Amino acid sequence: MLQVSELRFGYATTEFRFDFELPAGRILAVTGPSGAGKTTLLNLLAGFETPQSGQILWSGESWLGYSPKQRGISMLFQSHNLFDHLSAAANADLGLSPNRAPTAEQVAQRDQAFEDLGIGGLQNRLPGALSGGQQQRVALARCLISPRPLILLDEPFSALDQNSRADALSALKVLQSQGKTLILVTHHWADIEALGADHYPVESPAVRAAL
Amino acid sequence: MWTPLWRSTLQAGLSATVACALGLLMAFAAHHAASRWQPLWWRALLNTVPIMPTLVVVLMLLAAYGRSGALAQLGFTGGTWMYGLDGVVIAHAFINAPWVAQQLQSQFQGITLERQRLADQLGLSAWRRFKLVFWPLAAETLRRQWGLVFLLCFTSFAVVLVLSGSPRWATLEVRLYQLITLEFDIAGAVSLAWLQMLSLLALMVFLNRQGAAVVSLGRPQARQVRAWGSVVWLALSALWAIPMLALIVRALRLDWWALVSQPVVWQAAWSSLWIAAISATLALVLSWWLARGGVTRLGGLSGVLYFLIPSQVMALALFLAFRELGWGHPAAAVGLSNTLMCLPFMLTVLIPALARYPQDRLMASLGLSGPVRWRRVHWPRHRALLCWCWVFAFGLSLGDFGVVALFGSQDFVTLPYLLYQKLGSYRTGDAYGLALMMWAVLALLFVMASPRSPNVTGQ
Repeated sequence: MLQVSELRFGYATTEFRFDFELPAGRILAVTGPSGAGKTTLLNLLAGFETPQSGQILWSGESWLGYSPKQRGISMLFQSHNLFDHLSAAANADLGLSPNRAPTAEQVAQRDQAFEDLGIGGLQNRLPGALSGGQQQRVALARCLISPRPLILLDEPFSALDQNSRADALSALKVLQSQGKTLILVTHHWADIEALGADHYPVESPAVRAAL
Repeated sequence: MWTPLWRSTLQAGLSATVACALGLLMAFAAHHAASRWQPLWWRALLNTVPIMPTLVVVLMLLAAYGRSGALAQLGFTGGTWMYGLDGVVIAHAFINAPWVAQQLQSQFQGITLERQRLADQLGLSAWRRFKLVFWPLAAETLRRQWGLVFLLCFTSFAVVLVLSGSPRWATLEVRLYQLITLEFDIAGAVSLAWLQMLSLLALMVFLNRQGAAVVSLGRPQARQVRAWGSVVWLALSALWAIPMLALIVRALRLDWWALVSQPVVWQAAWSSLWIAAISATLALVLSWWLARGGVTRLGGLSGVLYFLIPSQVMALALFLAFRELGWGHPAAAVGLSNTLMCLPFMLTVLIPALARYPQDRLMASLGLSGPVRWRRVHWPRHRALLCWCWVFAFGLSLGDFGVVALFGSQDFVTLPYLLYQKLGSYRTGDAYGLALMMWAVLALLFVMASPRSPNVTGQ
C-alpha cells in the first residue's frame, strides 16, 4: 500500500497538494491539465524533489529520508530511458545488477521478461535499431526484473503510434500481473479503461496570494 | 636522423596521453563541482592557457617546480626533474589539458536530466556512472583531441628547446634549429625538414580516420553537484594556479627599474608590438578575403598546412627564400610566418560564421556593394567576431617563439627572443619580468575582447 498524505510542494506563487492511497498491485492513472503538477508528483515520489511537508509511506515505512536509489521505485521518462551504446539486454540487466555482470539465473530471468513483453529475440540489438515502442518495452523489462515494487511512468507512450501503444499497454498489464504497482501519467481515457486503472485527477495548483 | 623522429613521437605520445587523462579528470570534476568554485574569471584564465606564449608557460612552471622554484624553496626538493622528457611532458600537459577539458565539458553539458536521474535510481556506482553516462560521450571527443594534441606537441619548439636541455634531447624541430644555427648544415636541415613533413603527413592521415559516433544528445540539462567534484576540481585548479602565482611573485620581487632601463627591452617591445599588429591585420584581411571567396574546403586545408609546416620548417624555407632573393629583413620573416600561422585559426572561425548568412544575392539585389555593404552589413554583423580574431592573432604573434629563434639577432629582438636570451645567459630574474609583461598585455587584450567572444579558441 502506498500512502501519500498532505504532501505539499510549492514554487514562488503556486503550491501543489497531493493526497491519495494506492493498494499494492494496482495501477493508478494520474490525469489533469498541464501545469497541474503531474510530473511534480512523480518527482516527489521518486525523491528527485523534496516536499515542504506531508508524508509518503510504502507498507507503513516512510520514504522521505531516502535517496532515489533507496526508494523502491523505477521511473520511466518520455525518452532517454536507455543507454544508446548498450544492447537491449545490457540495458535491462541494469535493473537487476547495476554494478556487476548478471548471473546465469539473472540472464534467464531477463530473457523471460523479454518474452513476456513481446520483445523476445531483440536482446542483442542496440536501442538505435529498435522502434520507439520496442525501446519503451525494453525499459519496462528493466523495471520488471528489478526488485523495486513501484513503477512510475510519465506519459511513456505519448510518442507512440496506435499499434505500438496497444502493445505497450498490454506490457503494463504483464507488469501488474507479476505483482508490480504502477502509477501512470496519461491524457488518454482509453488507456485508463483498457488498464482497468484507478483514477486520480490532479487539480490546478492553488495560487498563492500575490505578495 | 631517426633518433629525433623517435623522440618527437615519444614525447608527443606521452604528452597527449597525459593531457587527455588530466583533461578528462578536470572535465568530470568540473561537471560535478559547485559553481562557486569555478568563477568565470578562472575559467576564462584557464581557457587562455593553450594560447599563452609557450615561453611564458615554461617560466611559470620553472617558477613553481624548477630547481629554485617556489616548491623547492618551500622544502620540496628534487625540482631538477623539470629538465628532460618529464619536464617537456609536464609543460605540454599544462598547456593542453584545459583545452581538452573544455571540449569534454561542452559534451557533458548534453547529458540529459533523465539520464542522470536514471543513473541515480539504478544506484550506479561512481565508476559505473562514469563508464555508462560520461565515457560514451567522452570517447569520441578524446580520440580527436588526442590526435590534435599529439600534432601540436610533435611540432612543439620552444618548450622542448628550453626544457629538454637541448643538445642531449633534441626532437625534430629542435634538431632542425640546431643544424641551421649551430652546425650550419643546410643540406642536413632540408632533408630533416622533409622527414618531418612526411611523418606529419602520415600521422595526420592516420589520426584522421573517422570513428562512428554512437551517442545521441538530448537538450542540455542541469548538472548534479557533488562534494568530491568540488574537491578534485580545486586540487586540479591548484596545479594551474600555483605556477601562475609563482610567476607573479617571482616577477614582482624583481628590480623593475633595472629591467626597464635597458634599451633592448624597449626595442624588443616595440618590434614585437608593431609586428604583431601588422601580422594580425594582414591575417585578418587575408582570411576575410579567403573566407568570403566561399572556398569552404580551404578551412580544412589551411589547418593541414599549419601542422605540415611547423615553425622551424617555415623558418628554414624563409631562410632559403631570402638567400635566393638576396634580400630579406628578419622582421618580414617573422611577420610573414606569424600571418600564415594565424590564418588557419581565423578561417575555422570565419568560414562557418559567414556561411550562416547566405545573403549575397539579397545584398546584390538591394544594390549594397563595396564600402556600403561593409558599413551596413558586414561590420555591424561581424564586428565582435572580427575584433576577437584580431586580438587572437595579435596575441599569437606577440608570444610566438618559432621563426624568430632563427632570425633574431643583436639588431633584431622581439620580446620572446629577448626572454630566451635572458634565460640562456642565466638572467632568470629579467626573464620572469619579461614573461609577466607579455602575460599582462595578453590578459588585458583577451579580457577586453572576451565578453563578446564566440565560444571558440580557434583550434
